[in-house]
Amino acid sequence: MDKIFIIIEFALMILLFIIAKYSVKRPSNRWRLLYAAPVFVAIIVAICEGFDVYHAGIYFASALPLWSLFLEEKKVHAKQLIATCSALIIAANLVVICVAPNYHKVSYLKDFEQGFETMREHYVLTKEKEIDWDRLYAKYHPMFEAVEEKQDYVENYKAWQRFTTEFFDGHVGYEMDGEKKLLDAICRSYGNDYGLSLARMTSGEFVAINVEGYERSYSIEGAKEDELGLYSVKKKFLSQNASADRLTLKNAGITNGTVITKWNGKAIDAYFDEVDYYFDQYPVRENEAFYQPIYVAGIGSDMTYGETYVPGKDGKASPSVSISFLDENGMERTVQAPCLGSYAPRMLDTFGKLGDGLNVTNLNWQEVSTDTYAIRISEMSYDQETYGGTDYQELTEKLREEVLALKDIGVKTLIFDLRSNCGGSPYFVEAIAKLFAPKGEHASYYSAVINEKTASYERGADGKYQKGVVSTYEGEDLWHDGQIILLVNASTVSAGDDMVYMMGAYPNVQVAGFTRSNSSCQAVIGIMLDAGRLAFSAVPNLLPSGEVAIDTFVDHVGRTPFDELVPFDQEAVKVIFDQGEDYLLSYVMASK
Amino acid sequence: MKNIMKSIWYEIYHRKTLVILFGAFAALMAITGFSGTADATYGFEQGGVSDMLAAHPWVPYEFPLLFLTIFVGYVCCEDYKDKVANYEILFGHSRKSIYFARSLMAIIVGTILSMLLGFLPLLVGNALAGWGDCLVYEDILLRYLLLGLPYLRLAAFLVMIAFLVKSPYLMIGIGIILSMMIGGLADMVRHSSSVFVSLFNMIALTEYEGWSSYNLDPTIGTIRYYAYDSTIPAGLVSGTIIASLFMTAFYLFMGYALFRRDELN
Repeated sequence: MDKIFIIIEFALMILLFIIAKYSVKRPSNRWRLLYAAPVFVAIIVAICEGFDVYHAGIYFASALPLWSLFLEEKKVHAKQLIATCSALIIAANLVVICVAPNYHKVSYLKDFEQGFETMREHYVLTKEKEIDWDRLYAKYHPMFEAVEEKQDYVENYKAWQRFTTEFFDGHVGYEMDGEKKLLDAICRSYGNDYGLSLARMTSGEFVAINVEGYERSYSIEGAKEDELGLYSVKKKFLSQNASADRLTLKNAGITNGTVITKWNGKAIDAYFDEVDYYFDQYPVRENEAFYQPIYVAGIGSDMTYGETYVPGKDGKASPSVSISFLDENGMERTVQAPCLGSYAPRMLDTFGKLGDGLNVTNLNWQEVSTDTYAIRISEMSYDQETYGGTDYQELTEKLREEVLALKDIGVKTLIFDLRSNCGGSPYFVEAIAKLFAPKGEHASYYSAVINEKTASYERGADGKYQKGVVSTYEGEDLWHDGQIILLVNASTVSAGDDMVYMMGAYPNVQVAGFTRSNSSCQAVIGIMLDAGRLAFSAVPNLLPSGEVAIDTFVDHVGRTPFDELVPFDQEAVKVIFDQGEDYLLSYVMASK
Repeated sequence: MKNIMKSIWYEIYHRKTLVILFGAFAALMAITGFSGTADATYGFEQGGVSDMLAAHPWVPYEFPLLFLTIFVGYVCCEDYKDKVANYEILFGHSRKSIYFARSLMAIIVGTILSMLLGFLPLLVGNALAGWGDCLVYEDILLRYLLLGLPYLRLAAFLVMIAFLVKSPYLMIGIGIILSMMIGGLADMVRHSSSVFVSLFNMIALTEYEGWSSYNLDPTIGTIRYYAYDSTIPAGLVSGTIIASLFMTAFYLFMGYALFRRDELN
């Protein structure tokens, strides 16, 4: 817009220069309008784009031709001189814009201060999570000062990820504005791709997963489109020799499931302290432990966590990593794995392979076997009309009809696929849960009493929020004789956690997954900042005891029900990463 | 100049079109006050008019802007049709007195009438629902009185435009665009807070810093709560006064620059 503005103003000055002479030959009152045109353009730009002090010269230059209105028609040279001066001032302003270090400076520090102060005042889990605001300010203020000084949006992304990780709360997150910048920042924040991800098996061993070169694995040359859009930028990060190097691990004998003993000569868990931010939030300690190795796989030799080599930047040489592994004979070998590109696309692909649920749309059923049906619940929303309210009767009736029909055809087991459920309305959850709850009245949560004058939630003398209205529902026990299995993962969050919490308590319901659900269920508020959006838990949901529901305390212990930790073993790795199948579903089917 | 101003005032006062127009806008503003208060989150009794004004900050200027544009267009452009300004020159009035008589009448009367319109929703809402406790009454009174200054500046700007376009119909079009910028394109406009642009200045005077949260109710669903700080920053007061006086003088000067050599046809 700046360029267009300057070009238009400059062109108008040239026009006014020409018109000065031409208007004498063909006199008309309408030429006068042209002298006001530059200032109108400036006013419109100021209204639409905002007043910018760095455009002061252009504003002045655009107003200068108005002086010509005072001159007599025949003073051609004076009018031409004014147009020339205006053009020169515009050109000078352009130079100032080009060299001014603060032009279009993004106020990253102001964003942090605004976000921090708002959270300090309104974050509802300060006590439960023992948040030391002064410590956080002392730690992060200098970090954001540095970001502001360098005007580095990648460091801004990393700083916010670090800051939000401190809250170990699935409802605390920062989203940067600008899709291109965000994708670029993600690609530069999780290290480099050395051709594999890492995972910790239930046995404690670390194994290679999603290894480059295998049919079902992520490929740097693949055209698979991810939801976030990293596929559109990943080529920019590919190393010069990526194509030639991509099969290094495969050629060395590393497969999905190969035990990795050392990473750059160090044990993999020795890196865990270094990993100080994640792509997602893992409030439960055991969930965090499950995902930590995946992040380690981006750390290069002599590089810190998050440091990312970008071809053609900083003049650095392409990094590599030495990977020690057990070969098929159980002998430890080491291979030098070259950098293939940015690790973020492979990392997110790994998350997807581990966590994606059934490939059907929300609230649709899929036959798993003659006596088992699965319903996909990827979000807790039915339609736009119902989302803000509490009336989900239509959903309840629809589901009741479907469930009774399944009962009639002899289905014994229902699987609720809640993997990566991103949440939504708690009343949607009640509308479903009531069908399966034991007969009688059930209470889900109490709201907290809000101070209407300050629109804030305040704690009483006992340190607890004051209980407000309780939300109740009447159980129908439609599936009394059957079994219900809830499939969850660390990304089953918010209202997803609600459903696990509520239904997990019913006698015929079993909760299973490689990890627990996320354990974050206080309602969220988002605030707009100059360069992004910050969301955090701001509305408490309370248990009858007055304690906040579900969220983890400082002990990082998950409080949603969890019955069966599905072992992440060699078989799971093979089924997921070699066969591309849904291991979790197969596992619960086999063990039901 | 005094005589020209008197004649313009006589025309304003006796021209049915203008009286009906003002009446129509006054009715519109009264309805806005009524419906806005009825629509406020808690209904008539609890939220009061301050809740409505906080939730709909554009109420005092959205429609008055349109009225002001039409009014200025009428006062400044209508005489081009019947050549009154030409006759005034023939009768020995200076261009300066012709210009300033029209522009000052348009600016002063237009500003006063627009301010009256701006106060109407507040008065109607207050009569119906009481003040409420969302905003401090004295703060809002000061803010609304200060709103006269950007009106003054905007009127001066519109005078300049009127002498450029010389058509009351085009002025209506401009008024509609201005109103749309406040209503439909509000988000686009709001990211700047420079007091030197009258629309931003109006927005700054009628929007309130605050915090909004919500609660979940098993019957209603989401209930929103707002806490506003209506205190007016000293910088905004001084900025509004300085910018308005400076820009009014600037626009008047520029308008005269246009008018003094105009062929008046």
